Amino acid sequence: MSKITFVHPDATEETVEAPANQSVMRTAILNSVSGIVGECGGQAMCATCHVYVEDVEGELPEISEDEEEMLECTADEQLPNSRLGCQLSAETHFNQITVRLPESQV
Amino acid sequence: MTTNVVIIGAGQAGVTAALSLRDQGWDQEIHIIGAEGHVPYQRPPLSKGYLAGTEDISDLALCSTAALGNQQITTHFGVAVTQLHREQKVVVLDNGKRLQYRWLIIATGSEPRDLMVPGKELSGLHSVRTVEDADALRECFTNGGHTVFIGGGFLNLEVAAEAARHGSVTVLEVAPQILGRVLSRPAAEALAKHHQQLGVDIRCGTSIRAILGENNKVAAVELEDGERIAAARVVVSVGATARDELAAQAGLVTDAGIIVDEQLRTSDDSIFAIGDCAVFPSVYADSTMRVESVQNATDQARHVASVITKGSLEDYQALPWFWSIQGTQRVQIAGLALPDDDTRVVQHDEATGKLVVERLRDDRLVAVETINAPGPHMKARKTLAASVTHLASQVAS
Ligand SMILES: Cc1cc2nc3c(=O)[nH]c(=O)nc-3n(C[C@H](O)[C@H](O)[C@H](O)COP(=O)(O)OP(=O)(O)OC[C@H]3O[C@@H](n4cnc5c(N)ncnc54)[C@H](O)[C@@H]3O)c2cc1C
Ligand code: FES
Repeated sequence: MSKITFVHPDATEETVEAPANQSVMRTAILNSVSGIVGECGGQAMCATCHVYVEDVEGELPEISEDEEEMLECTADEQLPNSRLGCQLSAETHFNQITVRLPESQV
Repeated sequence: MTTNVVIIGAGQAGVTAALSLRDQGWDQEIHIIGAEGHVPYQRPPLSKGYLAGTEDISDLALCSTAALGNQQITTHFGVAVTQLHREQKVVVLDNGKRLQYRWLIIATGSEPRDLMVPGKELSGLHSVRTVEDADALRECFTNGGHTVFIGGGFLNLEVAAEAARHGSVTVLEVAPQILGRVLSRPAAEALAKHHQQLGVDIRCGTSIRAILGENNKVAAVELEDGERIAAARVVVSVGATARDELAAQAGLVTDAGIIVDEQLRTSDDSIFAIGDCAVFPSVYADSTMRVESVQNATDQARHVASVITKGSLEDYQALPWFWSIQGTQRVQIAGLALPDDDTRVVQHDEATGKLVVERLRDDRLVAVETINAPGPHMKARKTLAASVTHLASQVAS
């Protein structure tokens, strides 16, 4: 199990557990954390799972060329800590992660 | 009078509508009824990762039952709506329950179109719409043998690429090229080439006379010219039809789908229709149309949620976009092109398979088709969305 803390735009926080290999995007959907849409189901095709990584315990994968291109066109601005939530998996990439959610995804 | 919202259909459109209503502040009762017994799920992986076994059922979930409970959304799953009484504003479920509504959202989706040839009742004939359909195919692919696909659209070609990993594959398409209605020629040709490399034999301009069986099981496909192609199984995808029976029986206006206006309202003011089952006026096609895509289902769901919660008077005008995964090729379409629109290849890199094709109508950019090029796709979505807003305001003034 890994821990994911979601920080909403109004600064409220929710922390939930995620089993191995479950992505940040899927964890949000299964736990009804609002603010992540995930329309393409995690294929890096929609950019509606945008998060800002504030803190991480673990090693995140390099941003692929595809992910970078998607991040350049997210609804809210791209920052240096922008990632697609569907590309970050519990245990594989982190034991604990804190992500801030953008105001909008679409 | 009740203030309930009742949603018929718990697929991509229905579930998004329920969650968006809450998200946008609707604090009255919401009921969602879904005929399938599963937790609501996404269909795209059924012909992709789920079929290939790289994703399991939990990866498909659109939400969890607990999540819907937390949002105070009342679920009626494994139950179908059998009647709609508009005068009393009541829907009747097959478990005998009756639900009153103030607003009704019909999101009943579509189903595979029947193939009109002899032999369609044989076993060993498949199509992919539900988890059960994908499970059945997944199981029989492991037996190897030859699979014949009828129809060369996005869906069948995705499945064909997977089938080619297990045995030999033939795709039969009646039109002169695969994906003819939905993609430009250069993009369709690039994909045809990729499929050939995967071992998929594509035969265009081929019509079918019959499906032949032995002991009630598919054995071969017979073509118009008499040729017979032996088949261990046949997968059919020749389009889909809207599930509009319930609406039609209730006297709503339907015509190969439930007819709605710019706000997605049916001919009854209290009833909306969204997703695969709705025929709506599209600013992108200059006509009414029905669209089968995740974008269409989710954007229409959000639109109706804002009409109900905020009384929004805006027209539905979200930019259509679509994706498909063909073997290893990632296809994306932004905007909407009609078959006669012009085609301009702006980038083509044989080595990476990267392709960017612009589609133009009267010199105006109307769509961008890309393969393995997510950046240009995302940029095109922004450009096209901005240009239609501009166009709409010109029309209004
Ligand atoms: C195999 C496959 C692959 C796809 N791939 C892609 C893709 O890559 N990209 C893309 O953009 N789109 C794709 N699509 C299309 C996309 O999945 C659909 O457009 C989308 O699911 C439509 O959502 P919907 O809610 O309108 O319909 P559905 O998801 O079909 O949901 C409708 C639900 O309503 C239920 N229902 C119907 N009648 C009743 C009743 N009377 N009472 C109760 N319940 C009822 C049905 O059982 C069903 O569960 C794919 C579709 C399929 C089948
Ligand atoms: S879910 Fe679509 S890009 Fe992450």
